[in-house]
Amino acid sequence: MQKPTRELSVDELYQACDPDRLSFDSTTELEDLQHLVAQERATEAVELGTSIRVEGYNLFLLGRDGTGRHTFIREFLRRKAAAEAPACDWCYVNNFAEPRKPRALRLAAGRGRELEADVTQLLDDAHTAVPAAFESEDYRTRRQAIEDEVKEEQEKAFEEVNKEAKERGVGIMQTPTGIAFAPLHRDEPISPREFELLPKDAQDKLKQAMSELGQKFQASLQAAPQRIRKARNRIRELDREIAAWALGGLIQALKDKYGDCPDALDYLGSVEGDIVENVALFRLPSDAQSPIQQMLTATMTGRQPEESPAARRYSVNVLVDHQTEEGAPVVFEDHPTHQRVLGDIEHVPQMGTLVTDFRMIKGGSLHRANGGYLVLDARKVLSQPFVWEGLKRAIQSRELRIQTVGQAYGFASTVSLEPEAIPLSAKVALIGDRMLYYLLQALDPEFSRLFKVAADFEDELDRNPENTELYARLLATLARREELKPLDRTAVARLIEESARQASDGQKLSAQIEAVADIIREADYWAQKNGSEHIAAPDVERAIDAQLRRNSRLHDRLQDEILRETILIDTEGERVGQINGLSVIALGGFAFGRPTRISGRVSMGSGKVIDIEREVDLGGAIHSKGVLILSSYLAAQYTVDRPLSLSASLVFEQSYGGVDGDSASCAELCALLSSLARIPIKQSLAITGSVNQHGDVQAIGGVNQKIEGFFDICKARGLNGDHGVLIPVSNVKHLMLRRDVREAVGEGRFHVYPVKTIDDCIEALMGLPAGTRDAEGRFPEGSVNQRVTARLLELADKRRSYAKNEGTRADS
Amino acid sequence: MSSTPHDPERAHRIAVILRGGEADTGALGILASVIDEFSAEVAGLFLEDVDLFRLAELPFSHQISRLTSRARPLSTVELEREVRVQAVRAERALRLTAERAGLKWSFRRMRGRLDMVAHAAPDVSLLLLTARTHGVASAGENSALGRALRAGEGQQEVRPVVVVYRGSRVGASALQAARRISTRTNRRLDVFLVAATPEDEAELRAQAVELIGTQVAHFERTPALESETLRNAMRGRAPALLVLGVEAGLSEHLKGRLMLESIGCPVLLVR
Repeated sequence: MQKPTRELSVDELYQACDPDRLSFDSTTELEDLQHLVAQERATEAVELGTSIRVEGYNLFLLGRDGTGRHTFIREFLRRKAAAEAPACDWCYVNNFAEPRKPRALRLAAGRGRELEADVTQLLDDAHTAVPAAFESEDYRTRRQAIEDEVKEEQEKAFEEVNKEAKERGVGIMQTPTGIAFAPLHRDEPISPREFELLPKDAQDKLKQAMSELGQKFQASLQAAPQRIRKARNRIRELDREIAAWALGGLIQALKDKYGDCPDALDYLGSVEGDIVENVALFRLPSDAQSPIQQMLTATMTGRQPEESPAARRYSVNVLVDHQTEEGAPVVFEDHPTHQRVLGDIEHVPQMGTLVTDFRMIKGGSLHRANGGYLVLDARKVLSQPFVWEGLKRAIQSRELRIQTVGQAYGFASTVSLEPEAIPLSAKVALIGDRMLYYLLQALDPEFSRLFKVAADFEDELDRNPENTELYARLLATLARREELKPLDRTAVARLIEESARQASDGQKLSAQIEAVADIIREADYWAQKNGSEHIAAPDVERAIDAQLRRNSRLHDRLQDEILRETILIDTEGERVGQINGLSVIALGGFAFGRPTRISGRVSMGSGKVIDIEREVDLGGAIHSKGVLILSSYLAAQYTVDRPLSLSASLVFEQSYGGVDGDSASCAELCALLSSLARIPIKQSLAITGSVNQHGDVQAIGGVNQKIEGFFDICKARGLNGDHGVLIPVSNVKHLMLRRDVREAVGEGRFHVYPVKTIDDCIEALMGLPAGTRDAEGRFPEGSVNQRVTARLLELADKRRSYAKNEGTRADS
Repeated sequence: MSSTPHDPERAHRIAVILRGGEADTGALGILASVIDEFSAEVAGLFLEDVDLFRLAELPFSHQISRLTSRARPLSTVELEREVRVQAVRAERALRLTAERAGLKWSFRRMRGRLDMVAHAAPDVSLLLLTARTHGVASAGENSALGRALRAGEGQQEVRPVVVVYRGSRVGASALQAARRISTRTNRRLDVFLVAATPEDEAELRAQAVELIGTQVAHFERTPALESETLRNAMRGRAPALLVLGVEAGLSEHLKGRLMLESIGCPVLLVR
């Protein structure tokens, strides 16, 4: 019986981390890590992207989840922003000339709230000062004088008509809609009969008097509006004078205070002009409530006190306030809706309609980040309606124009506000996975112009002493940041090993920190339960085991079905054309391996290898590629000068889900060769690996899980020393096998064979020499390859004679 | 006519002399503020000015619109129609006012002069006369002028309630009625004290203050209750209502209709 030339030793199955080689006893001795381990490429990109203040130099941080991109960018920007100048405050105020287009005010950081408070105070003061001024004796006297003057003028005009009417024997009477003139006799209106009895000239005189008086009365009436207008103008002028006197000092004090804020100064100037024209807003009607009454009413009724008309006109809406911040703003938006990112204009229902004004303009995270940095999750941005387009528009135009979604996309035709645009100067950093980044690159032409800097985070890092030390500091930082117990060196060593396993590579460490952080958190729980001061290796082991157990329900069910022989997997004996392949099932963050029976059958045919999985659309393209390579290998290896005259079929037995990848191509080829040579394959072995056209075995993924998957079945049935797995030699460096597998190998009850070529596989699986061609191109008699060749020639001959017979029959 | 069941406890009767136009609306507003106080039965009388109809019969008579100042002929037919419209409106307003207070009410139209009303309303406790002037300027017009001057200021002109007090028992009733109305309608109370000398004035003022209690009032002396004096005193005030106590019979006061009409605001006579 031919045995595989080499099997892996226990040491080759696991790249252990020796705690004694770590330079510390506990992570308390280690300093915090201020940067990511082995992410120099990404760090450089972020430094560049955040430092170049040129349009389009926004960032996209791409990489796998859990690689610490969020934490990194948060810490990086916090440090960088702290050294930068604080951003400006922004306010919206009423535009008195065009109320639909509120004005934006830029103020130094912290001065927005100050202005808001000052204007509120100004309005409060004005509510006292203005009524006081308008109730002053001086004002009332001057106003009364104007009113009396116009009344007297009017009365005088009417009185003249009255007087003349009396003198000319004409009375004045009110009709339902006007004034009529009646001829009088002894102060009583004359009846028509009495009028008829008057002499003709008396009648004419009365008629003429009535006509003339009517004209004079008409003239008086017509002059009234003009008189009123003149009086109103004079009163308005008086009001202006009084208001300017009452408020001038208050506004001037604010102008002096905000002399260094051009926008505020300009606004205060326009307030001064407008307030004089609208002084009536401060002259409360007699039944209006005082602020204290309003507050009491609000407390009693639960309703908000109504703002005064003056507050509605002059108050300041602070959109962005950086009062409490130091340095440039850094904003992380977790829920990037259109409103939360780009701002909104709110409305309130009033008498059945929706109304709004400048006070209902709300800023978004872009406003808060203006002058600093905004960090967004790319997937969330893309999944929220209209956010991506709005974000790009803002970055491209370098201004923030607040619109409702309805306005922005023309859904709503109602009148709304058009707030003045605010200049935008913010760096936007998107965090997303690689697929998203490359999709955006491919499908959105604006993306590469607006997000020029890609910070690509490594998925794994080299497991060298330097990185191991840094990784230990990273673990120390994590534990400290989350106020977990410190880790002792055994725990750190175990976590480094686990990180290598997560990287599926004994020579690498996984950059997906979050998964390791979870283990530390759970290990901390166990350490706490044990009353330990430090987290030790057993706590880490327990946390890993608990995670495995929580996630292994499906793994256990599948294994159970194999053991109950519902799913047929032989682990003993030999079978022709049947082999144990290995596959990996990944569910969420958990992956496990399972053996799969692969069978191959051959018969005479036209050289076609049928992939049954592919035929029923259960096989992916890569799997089909692997199968096609088999045809090529068979033809090139065995029948160079003749057509391949077989028909072969390959199937993953009891596989009802999709199959993809080429990691079973070695197994498939061995099954075919077994079927061709009619040599049985040992069922105590399983194999994984892909094969190329030359018969070289190539690396595959998930090698650890695959070995463990077969081991679990064999172990459950009883290890007898024959069980083992063939893996590509190029996968040996990836091995980080479980402790129980390693122990079984150490005891000689389980084996892991590295294979380099398909001939290595043949010899291990079939126990016969594969055979190499001699100088004449012939394989040694009795070797597997010789038997395969012989069978293929036999099939070719049969096919030729079959074709000849068929041709003769057709001729006859 | 009457629409509500008679309540024997409501002994007081109020008569309202309605004369058409906006003045009626103002008068009925004031009526609404006093009828609860007086538990009254309301009798509305719409007075059609007979002199106006006589004038309309003259072929050359014309009227000038107060609104547009355009002149147009004054015809009897048109006048009849306009007066009818005003009467219907007045009746409806009176009905609503009385029904809201749950009072018995009546309404009728009468063509004549103001002094004839004495016979039409002999047993009333209160008589409310709406404003109508035989002149071209009235308190209402002055008020309209005031409104025009205040237009756009967001302020409402609150016209005062004016009462004449001479120290009599009926005068005291009038003063108390005026106090109630001013309180209910949130108006200033102006009290004219009819006193020949400052000493008399001081005595009347003391009496008045005792009668009105805590109500704030503005006091002014007038030497006599005669047409010209009263009109001049009230010129600047444009009162919402003048309250008078009827000292020697209703008809005597109503005969002095020119005096009442010259004031140009609603008048409440208290008996």
